[in-house]
Amino acid sequence: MKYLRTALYAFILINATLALYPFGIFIYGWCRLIKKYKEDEAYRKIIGIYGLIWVFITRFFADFTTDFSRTPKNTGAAIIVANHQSFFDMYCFGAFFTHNLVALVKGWVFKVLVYGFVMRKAGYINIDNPDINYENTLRELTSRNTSLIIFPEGSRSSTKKIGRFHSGAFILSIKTNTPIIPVRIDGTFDFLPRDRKSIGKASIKMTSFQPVYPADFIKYGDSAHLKMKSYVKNLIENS
Amino acid sequence: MDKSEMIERVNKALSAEFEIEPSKLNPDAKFKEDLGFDSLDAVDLVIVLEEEFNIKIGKDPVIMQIKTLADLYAFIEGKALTQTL
Repeated sequence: MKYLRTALYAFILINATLALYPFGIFIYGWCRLIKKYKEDEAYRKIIGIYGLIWVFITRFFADFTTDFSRTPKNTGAAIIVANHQSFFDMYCFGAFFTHNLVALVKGWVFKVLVYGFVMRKAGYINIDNPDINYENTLRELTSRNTSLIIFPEGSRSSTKKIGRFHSGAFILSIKTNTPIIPVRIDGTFDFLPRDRKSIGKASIKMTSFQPVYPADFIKYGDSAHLKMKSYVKNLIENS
Repeated sequence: MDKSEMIERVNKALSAEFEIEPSKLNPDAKFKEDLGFDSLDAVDLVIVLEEEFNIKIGKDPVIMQIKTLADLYAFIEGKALTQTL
């Protein structure tokens, strides 16, 4: 039964993806010609709408709820820090209150057909590229009101437990004075964990919290990013 | 402070900051291979140890040669001889 369910889900998702090609061209044209978006912004819009379609389809297979009430919508560009349990965590951002998002992504994802092309065009950052200047890149993104998604665990958790957070996101936040929006994603582990091929029954919930500002941690000097990391992790873990 | 107390404090600081299971903290454990440290973690390690022991490590070239926990214990012990712990 679970394989039948997975096959049906995959069938619908693949067809929706295929249908998005002509629709994507329309969105691209609309963004570029009517809205006067830059090329990368137009591709981010396409990714956002694709995410919304994913959320719509997934709601037939799992409970999917969101709570963004604690994040003021006028927070502006930020580093979005989220826990990571599943391949689909990134898709959940289709339900987020902004689609002007870029993510730090591992190099192999850029090799996936079509996805890689679109992500490159949208300005997603290849974490395996040693030539990236993260500070400059983030400053450029935030100057255009674009937020950066980072999964500080580095890879998908192999258990439901939130893993160790690495410091990169928090060092960047302190150095560029960019706020962090903590996001907790629950249930995607039950839906599709890293070592399973079939989807499971799940109750997916995406929650965002109040922004955390680097100015509140500067007083800790060299360990400011560590204190910030600890605070953000605690917020995500114990909410 | 004797050596066993120093080791206990190092291990406690590593467990707390880097969420490493205490069972993995044996002297032969390699930072990169066994404990999963990357270059940013190495910087954090310096900060954590400076705070824990109230010492100055900064860009001491010896820290770059540390591969195992035993190396780190020896390094901290050496610092103890030159600085007041």
